[in-house]
Amino acid sequence: MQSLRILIVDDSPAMRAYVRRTVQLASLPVKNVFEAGNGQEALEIVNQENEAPNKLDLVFADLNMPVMNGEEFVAKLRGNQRDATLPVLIISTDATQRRVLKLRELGAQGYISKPCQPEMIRLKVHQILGEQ
Amino acid sequence: MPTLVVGISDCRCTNDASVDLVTYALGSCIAVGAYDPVQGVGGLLHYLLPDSRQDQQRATQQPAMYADTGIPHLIRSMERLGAQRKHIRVRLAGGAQMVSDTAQLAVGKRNQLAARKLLWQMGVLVEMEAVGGMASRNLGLKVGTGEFWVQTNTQAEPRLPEASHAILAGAR
Amino acid sequence: MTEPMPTSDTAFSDAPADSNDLMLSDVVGAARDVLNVMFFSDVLEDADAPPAPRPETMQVYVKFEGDGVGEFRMEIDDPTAESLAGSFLGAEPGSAPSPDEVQQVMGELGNMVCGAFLSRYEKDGLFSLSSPTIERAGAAMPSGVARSLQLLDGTMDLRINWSVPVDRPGLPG
Repeated sequence: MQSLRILIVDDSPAMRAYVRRTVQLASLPVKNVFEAGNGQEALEIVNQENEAPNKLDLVFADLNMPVMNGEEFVAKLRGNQRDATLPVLIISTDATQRRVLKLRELGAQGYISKPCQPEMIRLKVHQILGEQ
Repeated sequence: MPTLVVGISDCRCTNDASVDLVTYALGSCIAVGAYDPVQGVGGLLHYLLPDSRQDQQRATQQPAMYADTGIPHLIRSMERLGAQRKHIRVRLAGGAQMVSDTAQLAVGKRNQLAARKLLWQMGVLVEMEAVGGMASRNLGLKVGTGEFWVQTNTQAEPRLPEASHAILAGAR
Repeated sequence: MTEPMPTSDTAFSDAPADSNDLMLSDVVGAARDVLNVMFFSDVLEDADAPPAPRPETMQVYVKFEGDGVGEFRMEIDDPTAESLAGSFLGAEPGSAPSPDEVQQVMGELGNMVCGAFLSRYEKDGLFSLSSPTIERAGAAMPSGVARSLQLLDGTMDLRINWSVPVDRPGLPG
């Protein structure tokens, strides 16, 4: 894992701060952390920042967001060949099995249900980036 | 290999790779085991209560008695030996609910919440925890390798070293 | 002559009070879980809540729709909100979070408790939640259930009002 570039997509500034603090404390080699308040803003950042050689390494995304929600964001991301393999880790309170299965079908790599301890976030990041 | 036993309301830190740190008979108390793998610094704290405000004079004499004085003491002592917060890995053990504990919220639970709150404040993530329930536990750390171990003692099952691994592996 | 044993459905439909209890126990359980894991706090006890918001409280509203439609409201006084926000953000002792940060964290707390409640109450349901809105002078909710929680940090009241209940035999909204 070298010089990670991470995008956090959540309409809650508090939750973005929580995830940012966790990745910064988790002994991960974080180079850049980008933030977006909804799926639309996130796609704009992906378009700017996910061009070789400086590709993004991981996206954290919430589900319930205004303008563009997390499911639509993942579907649109997967529709673009360039971004098809960019790992997306969903963090949401909605832990129903139907939702998790749907997200997996759309192409999300991982799912963390809130409330979540920082350690769970750290473990999932290692799991996803370690598998690559 | 020398074993350094950490008593109740006690805290020990070392960068001596030949030392094993160990603390015994954790009930509602919490042990915070901490290790910096980069600098090879280990520390072990065994505190009794969550909050020093009830007896600040005592906390000054014996900071390791309380979470809010003991945890900063542990982390800063490790930093004096060269450890860095961003590298420190922490495991918790203890925080059990004792049969005699009839308080509104059990001391063990308060102790656990206090540990996690203080460590989050100080910017140190908890890696694993073996806490709660009604078991008495021991926590050890081999400073030479950074390996932690937990022993869980219950009345029904006097000593279960293998189950202890399961507890750590399954901890949130 | 013996009477037949009631089926679980008839038992439920005859006992709306019990079903409200189920909802309340899910909302208290959801709050406890969220407070334990991300706010280092706990629920010491819970009791009936007053019908209208207390004075001097912040009210966080979250609307939800999907398999049922309704509204969740969390009421919390300022010192409790500040204490919980400081815990969530990892603020050092003595450094209080800004009023904006407190509002943002309370919005997130309301969102998480509401979401965790819905996941408990309707395990297979699908809901979408609105972004939380925050007010200072709320009116009484027209109906629904409410619980007042005594926390390690202070007091919090939680209310739920279903306008379209989950379609589940025997359970009122």
